[in-house]
Amino acid sequence: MISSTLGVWNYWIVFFLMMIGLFLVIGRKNLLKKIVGLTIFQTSVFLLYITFGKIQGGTPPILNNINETVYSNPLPHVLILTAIVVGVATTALGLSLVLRINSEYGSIEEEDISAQDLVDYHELIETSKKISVRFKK
Amino acid sequence: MTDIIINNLPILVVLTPLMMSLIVVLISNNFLSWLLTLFTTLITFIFSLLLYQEVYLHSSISYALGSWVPPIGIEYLIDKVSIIPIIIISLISFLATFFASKIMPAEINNSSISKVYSLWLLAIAGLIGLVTTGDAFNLFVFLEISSLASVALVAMGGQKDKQALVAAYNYLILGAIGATFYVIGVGLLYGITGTLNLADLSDRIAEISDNKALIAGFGFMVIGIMVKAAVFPLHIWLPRAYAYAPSAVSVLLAATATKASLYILARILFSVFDISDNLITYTLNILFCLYQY
Repeated sequence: MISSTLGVWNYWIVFFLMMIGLFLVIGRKNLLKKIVGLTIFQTSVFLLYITFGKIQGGTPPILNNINETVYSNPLPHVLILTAIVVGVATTALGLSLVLRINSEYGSIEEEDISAQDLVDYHELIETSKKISVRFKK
Repeated sequence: MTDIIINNLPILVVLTPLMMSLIVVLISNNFLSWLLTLFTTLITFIFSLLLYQEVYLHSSISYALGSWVPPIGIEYLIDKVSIIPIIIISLISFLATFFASKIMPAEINNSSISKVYSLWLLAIAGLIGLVTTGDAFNLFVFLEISSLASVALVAMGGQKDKQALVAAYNYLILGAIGATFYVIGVGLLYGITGTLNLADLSDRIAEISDNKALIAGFGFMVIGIMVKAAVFPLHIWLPRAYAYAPSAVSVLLAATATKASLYILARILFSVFDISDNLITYTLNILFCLYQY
């Protein structure tokens, strides 16, 4: 029982990282820390793919004259190469959005941003009330 | 010449907007970039109509990308169901582009309009590719192309209203989580079946009856696509993203983006997993019966 549970320790690492990443995305209020969490979450998926592409004692898939060679599956590695590129693009776009938010709001804390939005909303209501009063006169 | 075009139609509908987006970004003149975008979307629409004619003749087209034979290579599969979303997306993108010329300068700075059109074409290419492809991982790539392009398009509303930036950020985070969930699901299914082709996948899944990894993979895939399609409990990013985006972008995205994802959801549920006579429908039926009494 114990050996069958702990024997797949690489999957434990995968799901440990996955849960850490998801928790950071959901639990943190800082926009930058959310992106850090997202990156950890995506990295766990890379590890998941690499894990079941690897066979114990497997070599790189290059043809040789020995018949009993065991090859690792190269396809998951190629897929993850694509997924890494996509992950980098997501991170870059997220970081540039955080920069723009910081220059507009002066903060990257979620609470500050929603507080400022609320203030803007109430100011909008006040001005629209004033305008409608002016029109009635 | 016409033979080459007819034979390669399934990839041409995707490649035309994808390649033209690279050209449009280089043009600094706003009117010229709009004209080129309009021309590209018109060509895409004509290609999709020609594709409809082909599908009507042959009932379904399987296109092997790069001549690699389907179960191993990437397959583009177009049948009588998937041609309808392609025509809808290309027609709506043409109409949205046609009317964008007046709305766009009112909301977006002059210097960034041609870049917006480039992202616009990129999003269209991603959405058409999403519907066309028959490969599970290629589908993920198109999902990310379309969603990253639409996030950038939504963020363009930030030049007028700063709340668009926060809306785009939420869209990005939730969209990335959804796509990653989908990749986890595809990975688990690939671990069991050893194939990425959707048609092949459904054949091999039918042979496996009860496997916990299969159920987990199904859950991850469906939840991931449901985030993208903004199905009810996972829709939280959608209202703000569409409200604060530039008007022309809202027109394009509201009419196409979530609908392509909905088509993918239906395809995964009914053609890959075939839930029509399965445990899930069975449970749902029981729940409905309980609800009625």
